[in-house]
Amino acid sequence: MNSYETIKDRSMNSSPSVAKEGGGPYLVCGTLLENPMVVSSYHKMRIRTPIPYEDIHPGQFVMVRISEEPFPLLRRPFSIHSLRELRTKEGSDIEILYKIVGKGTNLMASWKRGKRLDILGPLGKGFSLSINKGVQVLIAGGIGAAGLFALGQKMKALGLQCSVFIGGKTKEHILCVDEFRGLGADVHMATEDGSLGFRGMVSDMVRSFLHGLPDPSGLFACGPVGMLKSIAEIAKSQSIPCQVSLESRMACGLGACLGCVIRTKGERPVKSQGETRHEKGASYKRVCKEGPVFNSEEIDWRKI
Amino acid sequence: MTYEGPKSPGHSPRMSIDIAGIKLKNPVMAASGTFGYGEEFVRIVDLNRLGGIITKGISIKPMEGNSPPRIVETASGMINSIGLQNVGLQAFIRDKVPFLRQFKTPVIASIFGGTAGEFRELAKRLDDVPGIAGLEVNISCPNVAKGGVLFGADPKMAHLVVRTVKRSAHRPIIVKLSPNVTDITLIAKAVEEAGADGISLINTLMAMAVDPQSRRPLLDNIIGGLSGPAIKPVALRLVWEAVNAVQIPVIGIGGIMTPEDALEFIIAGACAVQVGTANFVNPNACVEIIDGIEAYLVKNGFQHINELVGSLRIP
Ligand SMILES: Cc1cc2nc3c(=O)[nH]c(=O)nc-3n(C[C@H](O)[C@H](O)[C@H](O)COP(=O)(O)OP(=O)(O)OC[C@H]3O[C@@H](n4cnc5c(N)ncnc54)[C@H](O)[C@@H]3O)c2cc1C
Ligand SMILES: Cc1cc2nc3c(=O)[nH]c(=O)nc-3n(C[C@H](O)[C@H](O)[C@H](O)COP(=O)(O)O)c2cc1C
Ligand code: FES
Repeated sequence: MNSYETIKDRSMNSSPSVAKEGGGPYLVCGTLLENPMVVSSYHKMRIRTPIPYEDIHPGQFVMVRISEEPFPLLRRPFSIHSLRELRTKEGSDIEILYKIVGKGTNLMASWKRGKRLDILGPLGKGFSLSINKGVQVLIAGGIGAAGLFALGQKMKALGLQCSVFIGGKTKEHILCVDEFRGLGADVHMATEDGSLGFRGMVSDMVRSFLHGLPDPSGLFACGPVGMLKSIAEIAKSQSIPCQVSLESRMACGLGACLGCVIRTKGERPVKSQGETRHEKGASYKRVCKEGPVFNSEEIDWRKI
Repeated sequence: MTYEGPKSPGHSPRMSIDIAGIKLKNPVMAASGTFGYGEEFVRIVDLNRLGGIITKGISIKPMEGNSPPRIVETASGMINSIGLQNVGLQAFIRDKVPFLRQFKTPVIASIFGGTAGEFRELAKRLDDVPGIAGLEVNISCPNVAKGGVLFGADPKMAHLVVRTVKRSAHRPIIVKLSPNVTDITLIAKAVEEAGADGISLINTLMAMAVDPQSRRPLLDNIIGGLSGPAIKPVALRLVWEAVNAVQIPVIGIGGIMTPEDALEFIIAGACAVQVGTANFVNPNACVEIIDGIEAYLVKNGFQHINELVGSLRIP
């Protein structure tokens, strides 16, 4: 394992022109505190890190190095599921809630308490919160719940009222119900097979819920693209601001490789007859840098 | 490694080299397209420690790049089809160079074009920009006028581009070669003759990956370029061949993750190396490789890195 410098040493590297932007990302060595299975094929790891608590925002993510060997090569991105400041103020404990889907996550599930982990983060732009009296609606699909809990924690700390909708194929894929209830949120569940809660799509449940709600102040969604699309449509038709957290294959997580881009409706250069003009229209944005949280209006949903 | 690193990091006389007329404090540079414009890494990496930074390839006009998905991981490597997305020359000079100028590390601007004329224009307009130590001419890009054949796949076209750039640039030019050719020595000799001050290789190897479940290609562009540890043995062979074909300095690139990987290239005859994909896996890779090379020199009694260059022992 590489002996990384402490983050205090690293901060000396930063040039004055970037120092004002706030802290991070950091390349740190964390310690695995626990890594239990929560339900079949979902694990949750808690990691002690020297990352300052105040530098982490809900919706941000970390890149975890999987192996010192060349295979699997790339780091894997995971949302910061929850965070807690250390009493000593010398860092924070972060949690990652992950689903076993392939080589990397299979390896992660075998990691034992005490393992030293190579963590890069916090990365990306998280959710932005408008402090507003209305109800905040959090919508999670499957493992998407991993990306929303830290937001719930923050909303609770700010005294905001939130309603949480959690959807999944079957009841085995409904995550974090007790955790959200622990925050005092009212939690609604939907399963496609009806094995728990509402039978059908979580987006349908959200649509009817919003109809009876006087002042929803914002939607915050994380989950599969199909679900996010439906939520974006609902938000548009009801004129409610909506933020979505997107995923994409990533290599660097730092905005350098341009591998993680998605189509947005920004300005774009258009080529015609060897000339490039700037037209208002789609452009690519980096999920790791301008995202992973986007305003749903920004996204070109047809291209996703 | 137990060696703690030099007392004044990155400034050991043992490590300093002069390559194609550019003075580097050590022979390890960040490869084009894998280190952005430096700013992406500044919070994590001490940019002053690097031997050099090759910026993301720049074209005259901004380029949008290919549609996603653009990357896929494969065995000990990755394939990318970024499609040369970049901010364009104007924004590069205005927004990116001033930032990089603050550091005591030479910046080499990577350029590419669709015609020889575009290469000329890029070379001209970058020539008097302060803070740029040299150019890296990426010839692994399609020649628009020749139906999209890569400049770097044809000795004549490569020669033309390099001669054109050389006439417009007063600073040193390094020509980055594509490995997707039948005989690298022909291209290497052609660009040397055209006036290149150095060559760097390899760029990525054309590659492809398929998802058997959906029977779809894993990249929207279908094909892309392979990089990372998987390509190192191929890269090393090509560097060795190039070293034996030309007199100008050769910079080794391809799958370098560790100090030992870099040493292989140097022993095979590369005067310097570039680190690419490793920056994604370990953002501090360049610095760790620099320290590791220096530790090796100290341990094995080398006074200077140059003693190691091309020191391959052939039975
Ligand atoms: C910003 C962000 C936050 C994420 N947060 C979480 C989280 O909190 N919990 C969680 O379980 N998962 C999360 N993911 C997805 C997670 O990164 C992938 O499941 C993981 O990388 C798969 O690694 P693997 O080696 O097990 O799978 P692989 O064997 O590499 O691939 C298995 C499958 O996962 C897909 N995949 C591989 N890499 C990625 C990637 N980088 N992003 C998305 N899909 C990928 C592949 O396309 C393939 O279908 C997040 C992804 C992003 C981009
Ligand atoms: C995501 C990505 C983007 C790249 N972009 C460029 C580029 O713009 N110009 C260029 O000359 N090479 C580019 N390269 C090639 C690298 O500079 C390097 O030659 C190649 O990746 C092999 O080295 P590696 O195995 O250390 O990555 C890129 C490579 C990657 C992985
Ligand atoms: S993952 Fe490299 S730019 Fe986003």
